[in-house]
Amino acid sequence: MRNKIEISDLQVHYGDQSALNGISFDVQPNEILGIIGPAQSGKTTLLKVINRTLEFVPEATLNGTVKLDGVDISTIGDVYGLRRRIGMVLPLPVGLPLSIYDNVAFAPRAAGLRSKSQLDELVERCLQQAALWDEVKDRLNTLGTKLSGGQQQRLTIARALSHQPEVLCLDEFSIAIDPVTTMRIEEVLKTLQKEMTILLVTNLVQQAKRLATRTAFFLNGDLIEIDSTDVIFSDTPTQQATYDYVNGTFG
Amino acid sequence: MNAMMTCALRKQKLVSQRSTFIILGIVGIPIWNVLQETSAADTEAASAAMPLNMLSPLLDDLYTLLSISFVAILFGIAWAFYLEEWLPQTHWVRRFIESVVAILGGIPSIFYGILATGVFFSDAGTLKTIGVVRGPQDTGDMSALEPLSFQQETPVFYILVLTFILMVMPLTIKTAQAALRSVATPIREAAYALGASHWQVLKKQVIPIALTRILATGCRAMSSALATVALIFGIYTWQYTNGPGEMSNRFVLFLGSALFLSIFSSVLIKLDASASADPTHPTR
Repeated sequence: MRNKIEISDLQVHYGDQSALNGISFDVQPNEILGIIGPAQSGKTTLLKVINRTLEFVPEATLNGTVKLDGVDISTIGDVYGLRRRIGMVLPLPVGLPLSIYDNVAFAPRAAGLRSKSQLDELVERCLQQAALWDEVKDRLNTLGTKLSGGQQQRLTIARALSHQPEVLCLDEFSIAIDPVTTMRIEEVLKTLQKEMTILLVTNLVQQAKRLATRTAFFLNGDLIEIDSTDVIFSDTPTQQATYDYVNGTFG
Repeated sequence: MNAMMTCALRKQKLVSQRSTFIILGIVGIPIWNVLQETSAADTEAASAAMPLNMLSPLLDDLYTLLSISFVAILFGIAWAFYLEEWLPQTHWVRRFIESVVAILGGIPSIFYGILATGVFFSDAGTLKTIGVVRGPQDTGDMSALEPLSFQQETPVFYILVLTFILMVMPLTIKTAQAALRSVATPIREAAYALGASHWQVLKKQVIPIALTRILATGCRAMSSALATVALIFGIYTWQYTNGPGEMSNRFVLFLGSALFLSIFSSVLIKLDASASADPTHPTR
């Protein structure tokens, strides 16, 4: 099977500081790749490289290649089109200061979709996928920032789904939300897996264990180990550091 | 908790933005009326001490200066957008302009006042009579004087124009840049991650959020221009009145508008500061 994302020898520096030191791995289509690791290990940087928002960090330098469907993303001219192929959910919910409807319709509109009926349909479908539709269907015109933290986070997920991405990147999405909501979203992710590839950066080791097909362990900008989740969470991963982190000896 | 706070503050902000235009309208119309009425009264009052029609060329000049300041403010805001949104932080143009703005912004406004009035002093150190060339055969007969506008004394007028631009532009660029910078990075990042182009992010996110503070910026800069105009006007009409008791209506009007705009911009900034206290977070 052809790889969805191929990363080879990716190095990122912020000024003198190294954030990723030459990592290489592949992501297969329709898998959930769990990415675990303590703070400062380069997980968020990796996601920024994939949707090319690292370009906004002036002091960042990048070496190596990232291929999406076999095409080097740095050669893609239409960077906005590229970003629409990749859904991104950030750690803290950022409701754009717009209505709930406009929040979800932001990306489709930016892409040029104008038809009211199509937008309505899309907004409803995305909100349903994010398990938010029932709670907000009567007040789509209120401000998105008016929702509770958990609802806002589901709103950002709905927003990330609104441009029908091929890859969904979730960056510690459950930081701001309660366990019950987290479980609901995890259910959603399992169904979404059929349609897209999911990169799940998480601080909750157990979350990776529950969801991920494969899991990658990052430490200080190095990819220590990537293997199927069963192996990573078994008693015999290849690297001792993985075992220690997963079992809570450090980190 | 956060969500509730943001909601309340958001509302407050929307209210403040709308009230900006309403207050500007409510205050602007009476000011305009007063201007219309006082122009006649001013001429009458002044005619007791100085020849008729002496005031209007001066006022023409001052209004020209105010219009130029207004245009300079618009240009300053445009520059702020260009520097902040298009040029990278390390670009030499940005560093150059930012350092120039920092230097000019550090100059106290009294300096500009002196510069603006200084050009009116004659070589002998006495105040030049308003727009009038006194010949050697000057008899002190006011009625023999001809009104002369600064615009006819081209270099003097250019110095004045330059003073006003130097006073208004750095202030505008600096504060408008700060306003643009105040738009929380996560909001921009979220919008970019959704595939929005630069223009779309500006139009849909940055401008609506920063609008209040940019308005405040414009008000503050216009206020300092008005204060300097009041100063010039005051100094020129002073010699025809007998002290503060007889200060011209128009002088009070200029000064009052300056004070009002200054207070108004402070209120805007205050409202906006409380409204934009959104929870932001460092990302990496």
